[in-house]
Amino acid sequence: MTKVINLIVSPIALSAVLMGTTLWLIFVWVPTETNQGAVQRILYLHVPIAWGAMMGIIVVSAGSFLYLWKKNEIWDRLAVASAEVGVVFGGLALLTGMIWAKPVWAVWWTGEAKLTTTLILFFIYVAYLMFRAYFPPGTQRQRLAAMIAIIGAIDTPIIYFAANLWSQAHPPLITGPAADSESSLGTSLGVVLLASTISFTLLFILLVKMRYEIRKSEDEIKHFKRNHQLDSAVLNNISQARGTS
Amino acid sequence: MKLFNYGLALLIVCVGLVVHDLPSLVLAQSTPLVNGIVVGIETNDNEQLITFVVSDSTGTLTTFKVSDSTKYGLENQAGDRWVTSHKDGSEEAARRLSEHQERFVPITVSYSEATEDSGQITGIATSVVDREQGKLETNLGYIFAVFAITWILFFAYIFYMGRKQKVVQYEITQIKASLK
Repeated sequence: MTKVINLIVSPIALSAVLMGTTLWLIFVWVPTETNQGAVQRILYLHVPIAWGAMMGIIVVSAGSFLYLWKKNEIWDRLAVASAEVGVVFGGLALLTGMIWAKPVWAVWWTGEAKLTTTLILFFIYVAYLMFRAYFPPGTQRQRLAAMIAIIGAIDTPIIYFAANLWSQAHPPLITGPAADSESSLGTSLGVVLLASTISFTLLFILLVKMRYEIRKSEDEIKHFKRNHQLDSAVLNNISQARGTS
Repeated sequence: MKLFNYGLALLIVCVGLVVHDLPSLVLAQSTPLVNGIVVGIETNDNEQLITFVVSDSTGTLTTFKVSDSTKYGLENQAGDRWVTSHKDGSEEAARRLSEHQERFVPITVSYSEATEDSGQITGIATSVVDREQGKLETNLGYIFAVFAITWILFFAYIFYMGRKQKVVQYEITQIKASLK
């Protein structure tokens, strides 16, 4: 019984319920937008995913900064976990944006500021993860990766304000402190966008938590292997398991 | 080493895509766009389109000249799409744009050689297309693509993490067993 209750009140169940409710709101509840028609419903996915991508780099840089300051592995793990989830959100923000651009702008891609700076964010994530994958392990790798992340975070405010500063085709901001006060938030659009943002934020947190736990276990195994002499048969089994993953 | 091979393969694919798409990417970078409604059309004595004016959402007016290479993709009220170049349909282009002006149907214009003279922007239209909001089936295809890609990628990532978790669990079991 306790197990069932724990499952019902677990963050995963909460995320699934919220996601289901959001999909119902997007496809059933919210009316079709008059200017763009049905395709405008992509907004309710595209904006929260792009928000997740920006939140990701903020967590990566905050974790990196705290790692440099406190020298605690916890923050480094949080940064790596967030970067990996962030690259998924960043890639999806670009993909969903491109698919939306085709029917409304008639092109898949245009070189305007918001799109270009988001692409740069994606490359920052990829550079960070590649650096961590290929640079020799050690504290130097962690320190240099942390610096890349902190420098990369400069891109976040540029992305946020890009639509207002250099907008050509991308619509101006509808959420946040720099949003147009006459934006349609507060209407049904705002309700669905808010629900979707909450759902994707929770999903982001869950994915980061899952990745963090795996990373923690991996680090503990590495430390253990370094400090203990393991039987060659055990090492052989482990390397076989890694080879099949 | 395996990860390195995957990385290398991905890099080769990316370089291939960039090389393949570079001309269109360069073109996309240099092609500005305007979304808006047609507010004026100028034709010659033969009723062939010469220029048209588009007003965007902020009220900025942009005048577009057309050339033989200007491409059109415009729908009529029934949703039938007319696709041609200016060379082959300059009269029809004027008629279609006039119809769009009457119906306040938004269009997207990509253009080149933009000049600005006392706040008036002028450019040569390279493509003039509908924003396709009328085509419900097309829009549904795009919505399906967005939702399908998003959820497939999320589930693929969760699956990838699940596999990773399994390997870690296996390693822990092996280590625990060796310590007994």
